[in-house]
Amino acid sequence: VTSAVSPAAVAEGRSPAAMTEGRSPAAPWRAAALCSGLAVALAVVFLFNPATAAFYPPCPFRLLTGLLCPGCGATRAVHQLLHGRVGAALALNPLLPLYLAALGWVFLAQLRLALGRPPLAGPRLAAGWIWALLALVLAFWVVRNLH
Amino acid sequence: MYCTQCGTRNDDGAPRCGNCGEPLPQPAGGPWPESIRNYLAEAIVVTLCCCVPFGIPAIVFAAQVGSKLAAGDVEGALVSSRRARTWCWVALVGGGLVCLFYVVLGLLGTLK
Repeated sequence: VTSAVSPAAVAEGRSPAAMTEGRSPAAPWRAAALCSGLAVALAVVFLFNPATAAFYPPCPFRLLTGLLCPGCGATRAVHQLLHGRVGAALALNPLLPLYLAALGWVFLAQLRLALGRPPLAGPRLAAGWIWALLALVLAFWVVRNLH
Repeated sequence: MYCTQCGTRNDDGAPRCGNCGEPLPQPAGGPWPESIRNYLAEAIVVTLCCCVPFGIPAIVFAAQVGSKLAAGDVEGALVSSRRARTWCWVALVGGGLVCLFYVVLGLLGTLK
């Protein structure tokens, strides 16, 4: 692998590894906090249906514009999913699998950092796939507000 | 990698020890471009759950990290990586502020 880092960056004592947020020492309490946070969040969403409970934070976009955003319905969908109703979950938000994959990735990446492992560079999708993903989200955003 | 001077563990590729400042041996061939983060997962999460308008630039910059790396532009990929991270934070804070605003409004409403 050839390095294309400018001499200026090297002279300033910066390395790409440092600039891309290096590894921090292992913090077991942080890992424990992450895991218990996830467990509590799942328990709350399982026990209280976001469709009826009032304490869930609202979607900022929907609050400001009255329109649905591409993520609207995801919390209600997770509630349905946790109760084993896959069809109802996908009806509330068909992009739920994408949403859960991204959330799962972020959780694992944060857990890795908390355990003092090097950061994950990210899901290395080819740029074309990321553009397609963006187009899908934007199209869904428009379509779900049309009717 | 561990500092030969004080024994502190440092990032692989870090130029000097974070504890005592001792210069660290650099890996052959320089830092690894594959360690540059694209923040794609974070960008998708903030787009769907916090703030769509600010999350979209984060996804765009995540895509740029990959295409610039593929073109051999490590410096450019680093710039895109930092921008992706910045937009993730903007979206997160923006969404959080609107929620906070809503909560404050709700509290004021109950007080009246």
